[in-house]
Amino acid sequence: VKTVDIRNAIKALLLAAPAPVPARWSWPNVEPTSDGNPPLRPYAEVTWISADRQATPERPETLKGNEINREVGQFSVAIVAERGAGETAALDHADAIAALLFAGRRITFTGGALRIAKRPDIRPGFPDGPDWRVPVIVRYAAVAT
Amino acid sequence: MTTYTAATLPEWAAKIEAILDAVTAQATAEMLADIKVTPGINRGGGRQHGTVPRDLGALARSLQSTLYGSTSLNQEGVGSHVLVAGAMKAGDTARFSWGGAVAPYAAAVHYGARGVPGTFWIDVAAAKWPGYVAHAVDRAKAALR
Repeated sequence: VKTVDIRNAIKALLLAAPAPVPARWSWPNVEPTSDGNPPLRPYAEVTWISADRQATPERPETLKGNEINREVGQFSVAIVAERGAGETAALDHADAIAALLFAGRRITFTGGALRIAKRPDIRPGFPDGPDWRVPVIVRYAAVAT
Repeated sequence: MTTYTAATLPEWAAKIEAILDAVTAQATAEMLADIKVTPGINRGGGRQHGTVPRDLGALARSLQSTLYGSTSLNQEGVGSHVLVAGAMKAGDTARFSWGGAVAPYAAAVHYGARGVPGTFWIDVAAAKWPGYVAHAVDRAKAALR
């Protein structure tokens, strides 16, 4: 499995999702300021937290060369809303992300498929300058097919 | 190889309980010990993914370790996890948290804010949990031989 294929599949799903999933997104190495400075809110910011790449027992790693065919990873989708506007709107967006990426959801991509490993975890919101951030942590497991 | 019979069942049960306790305590202790503190919230270094960044140490010192279960224990400080993890028994619940009044910026540093990526030390450590348990089980198995 290729990490780029996994991430692009997740990205495509998030971008195609209807409201109340946020319409504006910030990705690693892509500035959210393309929507204005400061960026229009609400928007969602994706951070890849970890990706543990492994060989499965059926297709083990060998001295001749590792065949990576499994990736267990997690990422954060932070809802960035206006500070002082209450938490209801931000939580609506967070709930929509959690509903979209429900536990067990299968997403196919070139060369494999991933499954959302557990129910996304909506963490407590916190202030960040003029923003209010609500992180949603999503865990997945991907395998080569 | 030790052989157990019905007559030695209480002895066998006590040994299994001790093994479960050891696996719980060791896996927890290793996970917390592996969370490194590295220089650089705002100065003297860069933020390293999976670590607790420090300038003056308030965030690292804000660790609160609490054990609910066979023993009730509450400790604060960088090394507060040592006593709590060491006192854990199988089935106990322990809570480890950073932040509070000592470091109210903990969430911003962990999840990222103001354009600075988070270091996600809690989620990175949690993702490695199965590995810590497997290692603790291996050590318990070795002790049994």
